[in-house]
Amino acid sequence: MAEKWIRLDNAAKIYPAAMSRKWMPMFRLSLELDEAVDPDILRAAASNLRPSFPSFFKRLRKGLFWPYLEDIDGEPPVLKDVANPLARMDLDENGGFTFRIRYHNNRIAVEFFHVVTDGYGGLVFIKNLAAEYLRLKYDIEIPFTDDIMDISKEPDSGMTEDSFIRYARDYGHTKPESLAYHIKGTKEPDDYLKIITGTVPVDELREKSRSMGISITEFIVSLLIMSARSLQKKDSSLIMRKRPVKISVPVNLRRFYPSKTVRNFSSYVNPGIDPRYGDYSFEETADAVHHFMGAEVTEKMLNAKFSDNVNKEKIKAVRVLPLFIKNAVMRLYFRRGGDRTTTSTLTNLGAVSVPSPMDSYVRRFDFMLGPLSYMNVNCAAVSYKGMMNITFTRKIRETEFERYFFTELVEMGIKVTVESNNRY
Amino acid sequence: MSYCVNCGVKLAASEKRCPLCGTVVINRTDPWKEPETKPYPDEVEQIRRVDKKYAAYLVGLIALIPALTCLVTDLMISHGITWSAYACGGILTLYLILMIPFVLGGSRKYISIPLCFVAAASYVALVSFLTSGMEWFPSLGFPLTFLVFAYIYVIVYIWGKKDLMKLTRIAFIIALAGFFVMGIEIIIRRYIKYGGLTWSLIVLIPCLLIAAMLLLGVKQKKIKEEIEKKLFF
Repeated sequence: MAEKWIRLDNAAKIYPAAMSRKWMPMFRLSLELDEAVDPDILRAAASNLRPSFPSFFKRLRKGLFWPYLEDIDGEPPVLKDVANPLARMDLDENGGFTFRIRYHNNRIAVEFFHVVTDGYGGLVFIKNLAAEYLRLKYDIEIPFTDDIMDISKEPDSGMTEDSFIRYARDYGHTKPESLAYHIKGTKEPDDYLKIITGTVPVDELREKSRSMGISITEFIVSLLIMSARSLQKKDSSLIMRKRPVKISVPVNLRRFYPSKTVRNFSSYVNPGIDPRYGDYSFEETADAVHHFMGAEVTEKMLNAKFSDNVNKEKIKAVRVLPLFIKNAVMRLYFRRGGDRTTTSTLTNLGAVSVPSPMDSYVRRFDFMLGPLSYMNVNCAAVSYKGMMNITFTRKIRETEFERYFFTELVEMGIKVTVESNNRY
Repeated sequence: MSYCVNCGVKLAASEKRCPLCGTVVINRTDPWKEPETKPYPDEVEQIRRVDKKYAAYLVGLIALIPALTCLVTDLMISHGITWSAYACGGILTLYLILMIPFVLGGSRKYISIPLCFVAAASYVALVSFLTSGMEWFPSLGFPLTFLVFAYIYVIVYIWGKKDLMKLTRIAFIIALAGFFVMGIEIIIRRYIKYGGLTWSLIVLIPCLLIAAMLLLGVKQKKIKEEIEKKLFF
């Protein structure tokens, strides 16, 4: 029997404190089928997921000392898609749910409030949603591989556990981070999120990055740093010109631990360059990123980072503070640090696969980040069937950052197809 | 499908212009047509904002509570409007000074500042009228209020000049603060018809010196060059 209420996982605790009337941390995953989506079947499929995803069918509540997630009745919202996805979710209007499902032509999209899950958990959810949709629509058998679950059964407790607490050690350490360069621009009215997706063949990306001796993620990060550097050189502020350019790269901790949780279980590293040391070439940047990632993306380093947060949460003096004081402190901590220490984000979900015969119905996957409080442009990538969709989401009108990124790819001989949510 | 002539990327069928640089696609062999399916629908999700008019009415109603309380108390005790005129006028002025910039928004600040000045000057006129039948208003109340709002206007203008460096803008604002204080003294001296400038100079000189220091700081490179030129050996 699934629990009626659960504590927020260690990473999620900051989000209710950091969110404001205008902003909350969100991300969106979508997939495209080979024919138009039937919203009624999608609704039924979404409801059928309830037993196997108990941590998703919960509402955010406030306790005296900590926020928590409590069981929620009703159907999750299934809405038409909009031109400006990832607008701040009003939890009450959303029926209390911390995610919303959207459809448009052939596409099924799910927008998540980060409090409920991370990119990997969201991917498991949307894959199972699509699988259940296809089962209902075509009455096909889909094998239980590639994260597809038997949704008639209740999941084992490992799927809803807080893996941070489970794997944390006694000693934790977080390195202080300096403030980073920020991309400036003219804000879009009403925080309208602008999207540019570039579709790139994975083979060509892999070939290019292998020739430099780095991974695809490291290659993209290096190119993002170079793109930000091109803007930084032109920045009018001397302080901004001297700040390091750093990209926040979330790391899926399930790579290092046998965790099956679909709640938050990721950490991050912030590779970057410091322009005060001189002008980095692309090769030098790639080298710096590669070695930084090699040193930082290790079980020990990541464990020390999240153990530090878990240990802070365990301190008795912290636990007895009322929630409003904790929130005020966390908000301050977030505003001072938070995403001010990085220039942009790259989250790469990697190669997604779905079992046969589901793969013949699913054409494409997309992943995008919601606006972050300080970072104006962010980047998310996911690949499927040999094509990688690199999606930039921005709060500003200017597209110079994205333009530098994609034109550099073109100059390296990599084919890029772009689409956007511009309206004509 | 077309390519952007400027960026070299292939454009999806939905793109009339290159989303990266805005260049319009001109492909004579395959002119752009509105595609049947677009990646995103046209419907925009409206993000709920504070309805400014509603907020202004609400604050107005709340402000009415102390104003009416004063008025009624005054009527009951002194059977007429005496001291409550100051309170009601003050509340109204405060309400206008807060609400005019809020409702008009930041983009219309050059309209809201003069409007706030009218509100403030009217209140000063009211106080003057109630105390001495407008005796000090033309020569003291009005010029002082005008000076305050003129200074605010100039600060907002200078701060909005984003092409100037922050330090330069601060320097100008500090220098003007000195002149602002001098203006206050001139107005007061003229009203009391006594003596020349004294204390405001004590404020003006440091303000000008600080501003000059800041401006020099901005041009540091030039000074450095000059010194190097004169002193090389």
